[in-house]
Amino acid sequence: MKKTLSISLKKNLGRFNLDVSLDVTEGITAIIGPSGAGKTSLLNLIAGLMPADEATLNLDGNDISTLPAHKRGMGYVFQEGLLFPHMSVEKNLRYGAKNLDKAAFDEIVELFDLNQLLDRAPHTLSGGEARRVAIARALFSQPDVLLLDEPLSGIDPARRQNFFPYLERLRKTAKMPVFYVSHQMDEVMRLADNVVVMDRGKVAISGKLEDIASEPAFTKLAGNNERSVVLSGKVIEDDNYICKLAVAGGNITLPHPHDDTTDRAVRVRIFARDVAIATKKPEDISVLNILKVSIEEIHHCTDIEVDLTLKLMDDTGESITGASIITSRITKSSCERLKLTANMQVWALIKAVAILN
Amino acid sequence: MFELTSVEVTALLLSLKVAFTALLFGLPIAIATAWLLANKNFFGKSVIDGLIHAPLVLPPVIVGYLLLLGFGPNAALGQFFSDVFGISFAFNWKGAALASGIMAFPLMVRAIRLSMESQNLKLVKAANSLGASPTKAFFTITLPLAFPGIISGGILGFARALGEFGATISFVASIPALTQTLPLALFRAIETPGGEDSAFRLMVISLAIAMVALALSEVLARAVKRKQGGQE
Repeated sequence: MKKTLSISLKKNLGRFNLDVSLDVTEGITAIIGPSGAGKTSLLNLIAGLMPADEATLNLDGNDISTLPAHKRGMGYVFQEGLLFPHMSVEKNLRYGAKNLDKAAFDEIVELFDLNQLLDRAPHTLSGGEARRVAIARALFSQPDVLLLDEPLSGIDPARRQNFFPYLERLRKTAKMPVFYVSHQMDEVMRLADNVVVMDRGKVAISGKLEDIASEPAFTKLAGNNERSVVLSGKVIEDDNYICKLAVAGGNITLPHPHDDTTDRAVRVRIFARDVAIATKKPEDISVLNILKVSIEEIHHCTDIEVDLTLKLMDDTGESITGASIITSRITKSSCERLKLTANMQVWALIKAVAILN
Repeated sequence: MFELTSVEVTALLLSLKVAFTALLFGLPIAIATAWLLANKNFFGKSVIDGLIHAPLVLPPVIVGYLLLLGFGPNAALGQFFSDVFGISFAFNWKGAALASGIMAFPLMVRAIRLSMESQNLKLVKAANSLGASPTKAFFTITLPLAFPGIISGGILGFARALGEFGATISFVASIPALTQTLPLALFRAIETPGGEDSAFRLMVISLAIAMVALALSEVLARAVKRKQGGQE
């Protein structure tokens, strides 16, 4: 059975009133937004570490909002890690563990590569190691819900890349709702299934990452003016140089040979700046992805640039229900020169596709 | 020259008994008080804080006199203790232990409170989120992390209790074998003509106990530090 957490929380934080209602299921739900938007407060309220003014927390039909923090079953990974300094790594891991058998212990130790660290004292660990221990420790308490508060903060950029595989493994194995507070777009894009954008204590936008990644409000509030879309699909053809990814309404060709077999689910991100527009199908061109699209909307984002919302079509120009949306950012002068209008059918030239996972 | 007389041995043993009793009862109360002061805000907190610290700033004679007023055989608290617990503090070693415990109390509370306030309070929240009840979190996180403070507070308090003079003599007087602790015996020896040898021996014993206590606290503190590593 899928775990579901429905929350409805109100709290006067002085600066503003936090008022959040959300339904969260298994998978990673990224909580993003400007600093001071109430993200960490939201986690503290869910965990019961801060009293709410009004709270309903419904976990699979049980109201847990009246329970004290230690009975709520919320695994909380704090921004600082907060390992217990007077205990070894292993004692830290076992602190919250309830009747954990050896296989389950080994599995999590394996997952986070902790075998070499078990006897170490917390103050001898590097930032990344300590963070891994902190996440594993929370998992050992077998929580119903996992709360991660910027698990990658304070880890230097070079090592952040090494940390992603652990979080990706967590994403695949954790069968529980995971709240992931972050302000880094690359983390969100790589890891999140769902996204909640918070602003001044309220939910500004929320939804599946694929659905809201292209919303201008999302990129603006996420503190990132690089508009992009995220598409998920399955690898259907895989030869040595390219692979084809089936997404809703069409195929995307990727230059990377995929080490995995076909049928693997992959998510890709396409930046609006990497999508050019042609009114006739260009030939003899190096671009791999040339897709027939219809212009859904033209949005004037700055004085000199426009954002186009494009919907995939099949090559004969038939519209497909539920087809993927991509965005393109071109100059206003190009838009006028090509006389682009809404509902017009054009060719989208995708110059770069980033593979997320 | 260093043969202890039976009076001196009695004074030494009495002193140790008094100081250990003061420590035994004082330390747990000091830990609880320190925790309250470090973690909770309540009405009248500054008054409590002031009362605890009073023995540090008041002349010990006044503390002894107040004890006499409060815990004397005919005083309210004295009656209460003798009725409920069957304990009398009047002119016996228990009174000496009470007096030295109260004089040592602020030193213990200060050291323990300091080590509790320097802890990251979020560690307890982390323990709670891992399913530890507030009680479990206190005994597994707060208390072990406060060990350095408890050790130094305990040693300071023990030494203070051992050296307690003014409050003890005004509360329970200086009765050989009953309330005459080392400092009181030392004072008596100095006052008595021909008591110089005795005074010197008692002084050497007091010095030795103080040195041993300090060395012990150093060893314990190092052991804890080694175990806990570089505390955050």
